[in-house]
Amino acid sequence: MLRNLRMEYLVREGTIKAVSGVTLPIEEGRITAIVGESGSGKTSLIETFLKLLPRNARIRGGEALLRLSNGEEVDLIKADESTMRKLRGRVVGYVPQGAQNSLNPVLTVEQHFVETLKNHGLWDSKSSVGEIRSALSLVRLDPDTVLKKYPFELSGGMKQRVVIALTMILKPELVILDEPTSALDVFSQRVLLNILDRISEQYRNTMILITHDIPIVAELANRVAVLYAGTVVEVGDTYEVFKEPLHPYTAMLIASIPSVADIYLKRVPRPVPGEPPSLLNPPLGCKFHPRCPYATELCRISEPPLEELRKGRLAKCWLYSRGGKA
Amino acid sequence: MRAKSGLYLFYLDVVRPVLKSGRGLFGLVVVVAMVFMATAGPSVIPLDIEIKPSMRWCLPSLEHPLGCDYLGRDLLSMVVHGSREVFLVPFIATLVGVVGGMSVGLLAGYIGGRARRALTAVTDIWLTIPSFPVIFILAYVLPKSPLTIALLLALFSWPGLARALAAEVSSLKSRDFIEVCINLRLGKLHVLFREIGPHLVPFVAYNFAALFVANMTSLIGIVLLGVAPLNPTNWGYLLNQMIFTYRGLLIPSGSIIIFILVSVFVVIKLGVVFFAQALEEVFNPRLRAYE
Amino acid sequence: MELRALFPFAKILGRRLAYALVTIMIASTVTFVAIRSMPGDVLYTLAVSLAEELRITIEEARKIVYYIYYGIDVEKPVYVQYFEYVLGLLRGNLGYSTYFKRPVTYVVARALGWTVFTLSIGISLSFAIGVLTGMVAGFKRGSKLDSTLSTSLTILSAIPGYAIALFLYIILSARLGLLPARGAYSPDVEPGLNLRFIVDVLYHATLPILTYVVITFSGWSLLIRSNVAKILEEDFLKYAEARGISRRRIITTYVGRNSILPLVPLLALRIGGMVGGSTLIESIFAYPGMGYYLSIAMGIRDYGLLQGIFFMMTVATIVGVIVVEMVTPFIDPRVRREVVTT
Repeated sequence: MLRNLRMEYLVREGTIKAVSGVTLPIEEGRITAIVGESGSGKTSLIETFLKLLPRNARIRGGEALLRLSNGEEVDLIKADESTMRKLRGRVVGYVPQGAQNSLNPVLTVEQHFVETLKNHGLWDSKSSVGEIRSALSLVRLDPDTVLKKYPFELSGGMKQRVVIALTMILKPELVILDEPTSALDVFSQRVLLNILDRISEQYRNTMILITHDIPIVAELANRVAVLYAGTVVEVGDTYEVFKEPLHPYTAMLIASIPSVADIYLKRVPRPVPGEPPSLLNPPLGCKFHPRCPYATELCRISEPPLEELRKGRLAKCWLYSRGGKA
Repeated sequence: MRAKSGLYLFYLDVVRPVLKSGRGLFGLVVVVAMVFMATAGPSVIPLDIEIKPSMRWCLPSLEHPLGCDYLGRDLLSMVVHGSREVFLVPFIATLVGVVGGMSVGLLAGYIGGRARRALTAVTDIWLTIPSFPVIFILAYVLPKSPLTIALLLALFSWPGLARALAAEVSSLKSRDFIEVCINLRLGKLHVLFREIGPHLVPFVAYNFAALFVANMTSLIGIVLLGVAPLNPTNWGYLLNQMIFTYRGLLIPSGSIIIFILVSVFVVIKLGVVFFAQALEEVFNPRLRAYE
Repeated sequence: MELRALFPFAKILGRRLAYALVTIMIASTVTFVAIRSMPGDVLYTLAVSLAEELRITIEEARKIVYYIYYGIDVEKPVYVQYFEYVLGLLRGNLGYSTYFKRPVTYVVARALGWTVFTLSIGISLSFAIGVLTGMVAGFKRGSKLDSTLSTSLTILSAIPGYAIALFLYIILSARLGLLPARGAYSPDVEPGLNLRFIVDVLYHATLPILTYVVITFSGWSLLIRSNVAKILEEDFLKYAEARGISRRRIITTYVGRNSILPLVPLLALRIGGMVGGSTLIESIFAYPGMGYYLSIAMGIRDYGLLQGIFFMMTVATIVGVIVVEMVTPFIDPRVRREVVTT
């Protein structure tokens, strides 16, 4: 559960408000997707509550509540480094964007696994080998081919899968995947989606999927959250959001996806007009208002709150909240 | 945004980065001083040939900004007059070495394949020969003119650059935008000079400076060790006399003067290197530390 | 490593030896040419006195002199001379020293050990210290510590080697009398495997080794520092952290290994420079290694010794380079795979 997270980057020109008030409830045991354009702050969000931020980042507030398997609740934002280190990997797994660069060039795949297990004190000379092998088969990689190889000997797709296996071997309760499909061709994507599906079924863990590829969301995610300019604008059940998007941005996003059906219906997908706002000098009021066809005076001066409009459906728009047009 | 005039852009792109980094400024000052010293210097400051035994090893003062040497002569005048040789010889050596190295390197890197491997083999072999003893021996044996020394130094300057350059060109060649050019059939020469060339300029410039400095060190070293005495104002010769003949190290003021002379040399070395680094930042904005 | 992987290894070794051979050939050619073109004062004088002594012509005396000192027969055409010279080299005949009145091999055998001793310790220490300081500077990049450190290192690397050597000599030996500045061991100590000798040897070796280290470590340090800075921006560090890998391991295996590995081939290249550098340092400290005898030979115009030592130095450099190149595949997995696939 993320509540009102705020984070900034300090740069020469000023401060980039990368995460401005993100509130997002995450359902356990289900797959939640976070979608948004490039630069909407998706990766920054993850790095914020995993505390993996670069030196020039500052967390300005908010909470990131994580419920552990023993029922305890931890606020990741307030947690100290040693707690974070215990949680990272074991409880919270992260598959970063661009797995190609995530592996240490001087270690073999096997060495990566061994070191991960040893670091968490889970290494057992008898059983661990078997665990590694099953983790690799989970991602459809042949252990005998892959284990002794170095990262530069593997293809992009293989590296991607190794990273997933490496993350899953610790059996974390929460797994975050950042753009797992971006660099892959359609066929590899298909394989990956199947893998993720199986992982979800087998481990019944909570998954957060970050992507800008909407069809993936439709296929894999139970719930979806739409991120725009560093803030959440809509949350809900995937099917429902797609069928009936509440926030104008969501609607335009969905309308902009080319699909096979369009050819038959002779429909032309319309891209969302305009450009994402600069996070250095974000617009006042509702951040979407410069591009929103429904923008009103109110939208220009004041930012709407994120409200739960129906059971499990949240949206941030004056169209629905009190004070705006109905 | 209004378009900025060309001159202003030049300022932003070239002058400001150099000035902004402390090192760049330092380097610029040093290089300017060097040029001045070598060209106009000897005319401005007369060569002090008076032997004044009473002024031996005098410490820096207004009259003698760098102090005096072992014969009571003004050190500054010696330095200025010696600068011509100390700068010119390494400069020529480096120039020859760089031209040679560039030819080999460009050829090897660009053509690739067997030619490259053959040239790399030759370069490697050259690199393995220990340079110092060879220079030592040959400097001893060959006629002692500045040109010979320059050529000798050049002999060992070219392989380093050739090798690095071949690698650079090779990697650049396989970069995407070059492949595009090749596909567009823009002609090999065009690709070489208009596309790859500009990328290599900072690389070569920096190596030139580093090589220059190294050759200068070698030159002074050779003369210092008495292998090839050249012009008496050559700094190496001065040091040689100071240390070995007149035993300056045993006298406190002597040690100070020697220290001063060495410091002059170190300052120049640093200045040239910093200047080259600053130039590199001009050509390659990514390196600018402050942005 | 599997035995099958060893075979391409042998191929690389073979290729390297071929290179080595060619280099040696070139080196010997250079010396040969240099010798032939040198003013033959000493030998001429010797020939003259020999001629008088034995009542033979100067020409004949010269022949004898040349034959003894260089193994060259001046009668035969040049290329035959060269051939015989090379043959002599391969057989281990390095020439004859006029000064020491002994075969060069004798001199070299005694000197080689000292040079190798100081050089190997010097290189290892310099590398180790350079890596340590470089890593500290790299990690603390941008801090006060880093800027002071890197500035001082840059200045240090700008000071010419001979200046540093002389400086250390003045301070540590002449002025403070802390360390001896001549010889490999004191004349009154008995060489052998006794403790006193060993301590004395180390005592005498300290100044040359210290000089090496001070001259060269700044270079390594600055290189490591920039490598570390580059590596720290890499993504795989972030992922390692995300997996909960301990900081210590990240520093050693992730940053450490990746920053040091690119430097190893550089080490090979530098060995040539270091052998040359030994000439300088050994002369200044009168340390009886090969460099020392080289400069003595030059000073007294002992061309036989000169030629022999120079040749040995080239060989030593090549051997050093080959050793480093052979070891690299074991350390750097990327090179290892290249070796196997070539």
